[in-house]
Amino acid sequence: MKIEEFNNAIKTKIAGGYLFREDKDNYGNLSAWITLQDKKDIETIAKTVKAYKGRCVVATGYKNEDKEGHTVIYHFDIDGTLINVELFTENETIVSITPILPSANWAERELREMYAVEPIGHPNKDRLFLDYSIAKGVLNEYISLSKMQLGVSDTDILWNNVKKECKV
Amino acid sequence: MSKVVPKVFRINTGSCNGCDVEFVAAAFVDKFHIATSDVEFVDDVKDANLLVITGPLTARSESFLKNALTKLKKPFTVVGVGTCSVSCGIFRDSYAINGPLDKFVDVDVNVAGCPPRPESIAEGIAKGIKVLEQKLSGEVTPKTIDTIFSDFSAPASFRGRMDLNPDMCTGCRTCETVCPSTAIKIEENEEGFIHNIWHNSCCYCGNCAYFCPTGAIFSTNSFDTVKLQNEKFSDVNVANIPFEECSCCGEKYMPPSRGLLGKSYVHDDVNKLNTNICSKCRKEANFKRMYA
Repeated sequence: MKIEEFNNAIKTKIAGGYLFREDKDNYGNLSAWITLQDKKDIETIAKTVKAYKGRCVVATGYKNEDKEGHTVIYHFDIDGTLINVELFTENETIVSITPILPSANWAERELREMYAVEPIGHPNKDRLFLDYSIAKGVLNEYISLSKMQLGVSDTDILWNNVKKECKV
Repeated sequence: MSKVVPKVFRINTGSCNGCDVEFVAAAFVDKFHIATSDVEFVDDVKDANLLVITGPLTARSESFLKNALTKLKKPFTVVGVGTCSVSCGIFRDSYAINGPLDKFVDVDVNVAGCPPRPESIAEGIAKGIKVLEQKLSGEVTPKTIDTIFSDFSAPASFRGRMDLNPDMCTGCRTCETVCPSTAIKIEENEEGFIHNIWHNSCCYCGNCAYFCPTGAIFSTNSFDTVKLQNEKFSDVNVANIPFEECSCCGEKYMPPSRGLLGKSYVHDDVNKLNTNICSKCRKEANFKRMYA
């Protein structure tokens, strides 16, 4: 499948409009980047991907700093060509595409527990990995690089104990 | 009193399984002595009197551990296996980690390593048995227990406990920055730098040795990482890296490492190069020499 062919297939079906661009990596592999204006159009994209016998590889997300809400990016694969679809949600909900593409199942559940973005219509309500004692959307929290690299945290009393017990 | 039969039960509290694989080797390979001793491996925690616990204690495993502990009959001994169980290692400060282990249970023996060698795990279990015997006879646990298995060795290339050559170190903090498990802390005072390597937090990745520009920090093949709980925070390699006094201005300064000078001036005798002079005075002296 050529990227242009996929673009033509969605052109008339996407009601809310979208931005489209092609990209190429260092090895010459082509990929498409689609930014949806209306997040509900992800269903149309999923149906088109299914029609081409493609699959959802993974979905990623991040909390926006400039405007309240989350950006979610679905990465689809159609016969080796990567289609990346970006959408924005301001109310922490997205339409689940798992009923159309079962390959999105785990990725959407991860979005739910990591970013508290709820995929409406997802068939599985359970958590995927994290314990229920951990707050929903834990990756929305700011974790500084210094804390990650050097363990500089209020709760890290271990080194204080080392200092106390170790006589220099 | 009849001889104690150690009944071992293993609990994984979110370990990557590295320690568990080494535990299997320690438990069932004859040369590690545990398989040929009287140790019994039980399949129900309520029959155990020696717990071997691996993992950093994830949020999800906390309730399982607590539940298992309620079923144990006292006295029992706990052997924490792996750096994760001792100090959470590379997972410390993660949102999903509730450890280390000693927050929830009184640990008796810690076996650091990532993963520890089967020899270390066998030594840890043997020390755990000693502690159990003392508990059963009502004796006080000693502060240290001598090495039990003296016939273990490691190849020269084994990446074991880290060590530091203070003559080569300049306190540049590269090792502290690249350490993924916060096992290195460098402090500064008026006299110089104090370089600390906390062995119970080290994951033996060798990052520090790889990135050290002077080759001051290096790994030894020592796998002597089995310590009693009271040694948890004191098993630290401490090295002083003193400042020198500048022979010109009298200011305290950190002299360049002999190792680094040796790399930079391969054709010169580094001992004759600007000794006892701070970088500021050296610049002035060189400027005067060139332009005076």
